[in-house]
Amino acid sequence: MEDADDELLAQVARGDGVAFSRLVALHRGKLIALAARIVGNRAVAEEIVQEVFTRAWIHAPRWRPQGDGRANVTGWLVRVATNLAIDQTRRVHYAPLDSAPEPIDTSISAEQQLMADDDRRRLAAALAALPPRQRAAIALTYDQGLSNAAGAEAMAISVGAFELLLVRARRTLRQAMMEDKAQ
Amino acid sequence: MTPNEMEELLDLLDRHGGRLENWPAEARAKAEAWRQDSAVAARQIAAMRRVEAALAASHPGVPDEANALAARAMQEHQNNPQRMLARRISWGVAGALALVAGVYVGSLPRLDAAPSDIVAAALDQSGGRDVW
Repeated sequence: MEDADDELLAQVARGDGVAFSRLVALHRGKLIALAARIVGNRAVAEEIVQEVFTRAWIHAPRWRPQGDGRANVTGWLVRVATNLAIDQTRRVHYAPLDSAPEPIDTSISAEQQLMADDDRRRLAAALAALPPRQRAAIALTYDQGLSNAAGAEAMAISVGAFELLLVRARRTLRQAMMEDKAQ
Repeated sequence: MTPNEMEELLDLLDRHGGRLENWPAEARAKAEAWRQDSAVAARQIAAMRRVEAALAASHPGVPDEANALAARAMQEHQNNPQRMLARRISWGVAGALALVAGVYVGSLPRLDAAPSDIVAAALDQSGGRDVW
C-alpha cells in the first residue's frame, strides 16, 4: 500500500491529475471521517481535507520516502488532517455531527434500537465536551484504527502522551454513559 | 469487590477499552472475575462497550466524490498564485540545478578517452598549457 502510495505521489509530482484523483480516492473518506470527528462538522471537515490534498499536490515534488523509518504517505496525510482539524477547533466552535436518523436495524428489538439511538446522542454530547486533542485521540484510535504508536505519530506527541489523552477521553465518555444510565 | 479493585478495573478499562478479549491475559482474567462478582463492575464494563458501540455506529462515513475533491484541490492550487509560484519556483530551481549539473558533467573529460586526451582537455580548461 505504501509503495503504491509512493508511486502515486511520484506521478502526482510530475503533474499527473489522474494519479492525484486516485490518491484522493484512496484516502479521502478516512480523512474526512477523522476531521469530522474532531471538528464536529462535515462541511468544515471537507474543507480541511481539501486543504490537505492541496498541500499534497504542492509538496509532492519534494516528497522523499526515507529508509527504514521512511516517511509514510498515509501517515503524513493523517498528521496534516489531524493538525488542521485541531487548529480549526480554535476558530470554530465544535458542534456535534448532524445525527441523521440511522437506518433501522431489523435484527434488534425496537427497545434496543431506542437505547442505541440514545447512546449515540449521549456520546455526541460527551464528545462535544472533550478537549479537541482528546477527540483527536479517540478518532485516531476508533475511527482510523491506529495503534497508540501510530496515533502518537499522527499527533506528533510521545506514545505516553497519546495514551494519556486516550485514557482521559475514555474516562469522560464512560462516566457520561454511566451518569446518563443512572438518571 | 474492594474499592481498590474497582479503581484498578476502571483504570484498566480506560487504558485498554471495553473489549476484554483485547486485554493482556492477566488483566482480562481479573476483569472477567470482577464482572461475575459485581454488578457495578459489570455495568462499568458495559458502559465502556456502549461507548465503543456508539462510536462505531456514529462513524462519519463519506459518499464517494473523490474526483470532485481532487479537482477542487487542484483548482484551489491554481487560484492561489503564491502557491502556484512556490511550486513553479521549486520546479525552476530543480531545472536550473539540472542544467548546471549537465553543463558540469559535459565539461568533464570522457572516461573512455585516451589519457593524453583527458590531460589535454584538462589543460585546455585550466589554461595550464601556459604554465608549462
